[in-house]
Amino acid sequence: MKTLKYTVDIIGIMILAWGLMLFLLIVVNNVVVDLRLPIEGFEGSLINNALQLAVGGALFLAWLFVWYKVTVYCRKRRLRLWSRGPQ
Amino acid sequence: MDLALSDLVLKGPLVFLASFLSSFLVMPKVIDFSKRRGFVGRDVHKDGQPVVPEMGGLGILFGVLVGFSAHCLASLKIDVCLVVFTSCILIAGAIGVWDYLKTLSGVMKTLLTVIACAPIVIGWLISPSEVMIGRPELPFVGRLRLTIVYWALLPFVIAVPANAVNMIDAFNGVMPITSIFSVLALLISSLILERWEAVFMCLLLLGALMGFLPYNLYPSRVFAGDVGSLAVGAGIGAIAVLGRLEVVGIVSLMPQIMNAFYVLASVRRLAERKQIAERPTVVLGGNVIAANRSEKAPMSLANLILSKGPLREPDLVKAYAVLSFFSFILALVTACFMVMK
Repeated sequence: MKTLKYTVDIIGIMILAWGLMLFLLIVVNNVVVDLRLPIEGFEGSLINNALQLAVGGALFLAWLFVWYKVTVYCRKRRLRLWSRGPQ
Repeated sequence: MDLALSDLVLKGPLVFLASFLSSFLVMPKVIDFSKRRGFVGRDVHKDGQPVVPEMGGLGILFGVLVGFSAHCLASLKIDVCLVVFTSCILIAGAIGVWDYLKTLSGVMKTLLTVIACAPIVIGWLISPSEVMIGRPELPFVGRLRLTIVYWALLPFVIAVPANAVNMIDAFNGVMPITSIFSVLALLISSLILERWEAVFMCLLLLGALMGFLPYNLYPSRVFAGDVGSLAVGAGIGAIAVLGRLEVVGIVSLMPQIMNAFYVLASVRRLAERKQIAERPTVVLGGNVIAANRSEKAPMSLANLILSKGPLREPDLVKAYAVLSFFSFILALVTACFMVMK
């Protein structure tokens, strides 16, 4: 039980990161993959691939950012509670 | 009964037992060898910082090699996927030995682990029907056909898990326990998704890790060292790619990835342990460990767990095991979502 008390919020972060990852995979598959600029030929294919990669990359970075910020908040809160608790 | 399944029922236990027994039985010899050669390090989380042999990973490599040989003998043929998998592990292990002897910088070690994905590329060039890459399968979505993007990401598929497993190996028993949960998740997922080629790889690695575990549990008689942690991480990455279980692999490695991500995000560079001025944890004495509250201390999974309060090392390891168990469950749910495409 003691171990679970120490890990319960981290499990919450894990589930959040996992759920967001699955959601982003669906977004990438349904939205990002269909993003196309009306440019024909090899250049068009290259630009469209680069655009999809850039949008996918931006979503990936946003996922990491949310995950990191939630963790930093959780750590600060835990440290504050520890400081207030019996020493 | 399906041919692949009957093959698995016959050879699976043999492969697992061969790698488990060889890894378990060779470990006392590895401990003696490490002591004689002076391949030892200090267990910094214990009172008096006792000296512990550090090349336990060699026993894991031996276990994988014996299990692989047992598979070859039992099937009277050499499986290309298993050759690729074993080569990835051996290359990563060799990089670990080199790192131990020469102490490579964080950037150099990461770059070198990229080389460990070479057997996958060579295997694909030689036998594209057996080593299928560029066709990852996603939950709900199904199989993707990625060409340029997959090749761009390929260098990371071994380097990321290898270094993530390497970075989590800081406390007695943490590396084998977390890795066993990851490999178990990949094993059950490959059974659910009928990826028979991945099942044998999982059994090889699982056996070797379980043979090593009793020696690494608190109080450790041997550390895996970079040779063990890099090899195990590379093995998990190789299983994920060769078994087309990339997403399951990522989810099963969540504690390791979380730890590596927190360290990298807070340190903001690839740095070797010795290059980081402040440790994420501090030892209070009596084998009790606490989070380092300094602003300069890097954040890590241990630091996050201990931000609730100090713990004894075995309790901290139990917390890692609980997190790994939950990532194991999430990985299995992910595999089930892959069936529901």
